[in-house]
Amino acid sequence: MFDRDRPLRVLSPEQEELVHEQAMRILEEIGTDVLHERARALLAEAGCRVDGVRVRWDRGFVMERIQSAPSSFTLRARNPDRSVTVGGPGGDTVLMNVGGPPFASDLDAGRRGGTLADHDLLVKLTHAAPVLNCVQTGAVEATDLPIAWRHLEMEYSTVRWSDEPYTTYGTSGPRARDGIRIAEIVFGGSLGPDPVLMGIVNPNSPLVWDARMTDALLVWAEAAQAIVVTPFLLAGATAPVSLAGGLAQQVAECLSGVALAQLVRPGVPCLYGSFFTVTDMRTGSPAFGTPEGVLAVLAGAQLARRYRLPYRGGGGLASANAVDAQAAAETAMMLWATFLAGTDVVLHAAGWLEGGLTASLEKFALDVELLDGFVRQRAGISFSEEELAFDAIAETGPGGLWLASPHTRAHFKEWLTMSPLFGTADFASWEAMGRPSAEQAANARWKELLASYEDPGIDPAIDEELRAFIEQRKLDPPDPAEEA
Amino acid sequence: MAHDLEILQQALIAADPGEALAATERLLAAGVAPTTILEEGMAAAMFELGERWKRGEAFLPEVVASAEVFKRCNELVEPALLATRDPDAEANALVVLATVKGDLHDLGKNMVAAMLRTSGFDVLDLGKDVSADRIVEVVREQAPQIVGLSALLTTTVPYQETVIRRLEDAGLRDAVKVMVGGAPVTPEWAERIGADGYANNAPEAVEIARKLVGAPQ
Repeated sequence: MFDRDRPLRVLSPEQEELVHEQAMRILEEIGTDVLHERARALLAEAGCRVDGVRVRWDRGFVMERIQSAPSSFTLRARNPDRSVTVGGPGGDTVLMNVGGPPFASDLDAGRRGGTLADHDLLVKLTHAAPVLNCVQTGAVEATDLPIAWRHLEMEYSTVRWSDEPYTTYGTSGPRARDGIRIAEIVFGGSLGPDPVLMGIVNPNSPLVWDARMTDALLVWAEAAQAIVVTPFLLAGATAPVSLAGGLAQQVAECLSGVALAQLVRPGVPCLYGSFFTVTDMRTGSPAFGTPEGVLAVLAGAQLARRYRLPYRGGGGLASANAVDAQAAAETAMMLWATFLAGTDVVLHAAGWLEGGLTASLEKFALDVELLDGFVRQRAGISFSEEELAFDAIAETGPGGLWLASPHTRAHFKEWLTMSPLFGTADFASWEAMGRPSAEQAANARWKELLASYEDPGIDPAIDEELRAFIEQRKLDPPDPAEEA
Repeated sequence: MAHDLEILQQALIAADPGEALAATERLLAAGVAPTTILEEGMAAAMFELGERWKRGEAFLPEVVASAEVFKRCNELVEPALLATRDPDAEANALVVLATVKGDLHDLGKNMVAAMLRTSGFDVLDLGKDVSADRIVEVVREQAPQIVGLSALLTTTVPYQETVIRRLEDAGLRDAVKVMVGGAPVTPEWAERIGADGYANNAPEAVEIARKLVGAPQ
């Protein structure tokens, strides 16, 4: 059911071809704006037609360049046991915490501006949750710190409190370089040959490669780090209101980004990223978990396979403002799509609320619970002799009580999922307990998870070097207003 | 002796019939009072298991398996108990359980039976799809302290009332307490049909049964 090489297909071969053909036409006839001078020069040198800032990408160039991107790669963690394989038939499903929200919330402290302490907490929860195997830096914005250097402290938070692989913060070239320097310290000198971090690049859709993100892309490509090229598409706002047209735009933006990265450094790992949902025309807000959003996740996966690129998509996305029925329904819709798509890398798998504006700790616990379920479902149905259970069926016999069967007792803990969050108490017992809601149970759950957190530690010499670099850099941080 | 009582408790909690039966035999051979074996070994173990179940540390198949071992140990202890019993002393309270006529859903009733047995009640389980006539006959012959009636279907719940009316017609209603249960059954329904007790779940059924026979809770 969750075969990563055969995602649930929502596009017929003809439709897939139409999307590809139109993407190529977009690149050749319309082109993209590239607002980064050096990138434009590189593209011109490689034979692309450059007219002012407009670059028209020849399909032969794009399709040839993307060939050098690997279909799978190893993302190294500072703890080698936690390294993951991204893409390919034997690849891991890389699941990460939410990233980017300016707010944090939980039942005890309510909704507040995110702080570095909240960031530390989310990194620790991610590290502690067995189902999450990668940390997204920027789990919540440390709004208590100056913009100019908060990226340094958030990056430190990630590498200090977890030894899992991670995505770097890098929202510009200089910040991306800071992330590379931090990784060099953590990994003891030069990086490579396998990447140690993933950087997320969003073109400024529709069809603009802005200076900042392009600069970050070049920095990561030059440092041979993995690049997740993810157009941020909202049907009706940053993309056509139709899914078909939006998918063609997604392909054009993704493949042009991957081609540019390959031009800079052939063989640098790149992902085909999809963040494609719709605009709610009543509010102008992105709407998550909609039927169109689900179809877009699945179609994106199909296209990524076509281009032999690992796929980033989906996530526990929801528009709901509270951890309520809407949040649960939207998230469940999105996660089904994520897993049926055979997604390789899932950002925002846990903790996303309010369309990504809030990192909710209760939502985090609920999402982890759902993810555990999906991982179990992906394992499928096992058919050992013991599981076919002929002998036990004979022993229990017609009219027998399976509750009393040794077979049941021997295996129920291993074979049946008993959610620590979702109870089955009868109504009266539940009422006697004070009618606990799933959100209250989730509050207790994230606290348990936090209590189970074990500090992976860090070499004191490395830590000292990290702190020295960060403190020195804080004295002369990148100027947010003047970043390329 | 204390050591074997401890072994018996642990074996019951682990639902290990070999260990439990061997410990019971050793205790009997050593001349330990059967009431001590029953109360300080077996009942104490089942009480501990029940507490673990309430805390979510033990699970239903484990409780049912331990109840089965408990039953087998009890078969060893009972003859000794009868031999030493003061003829005037009270026997265990007897509970007759049935899933009422028309209903084949006996899982809940079976759970109640297991929990009652491990709490020191004698249980006569009449099974499922049981007619009022059969229940009246058993109440007349066995004189149980309690009759427990289970029903899962909204279409069979009314039969609980039928049974109570038939007990009244037979002049047996005052001789026995009637408990009702089942997912769609409510305390209001129990009161309306004149039942003496209602429980949401198996552990609560044990508490209600204890209350009905005036046992310490």
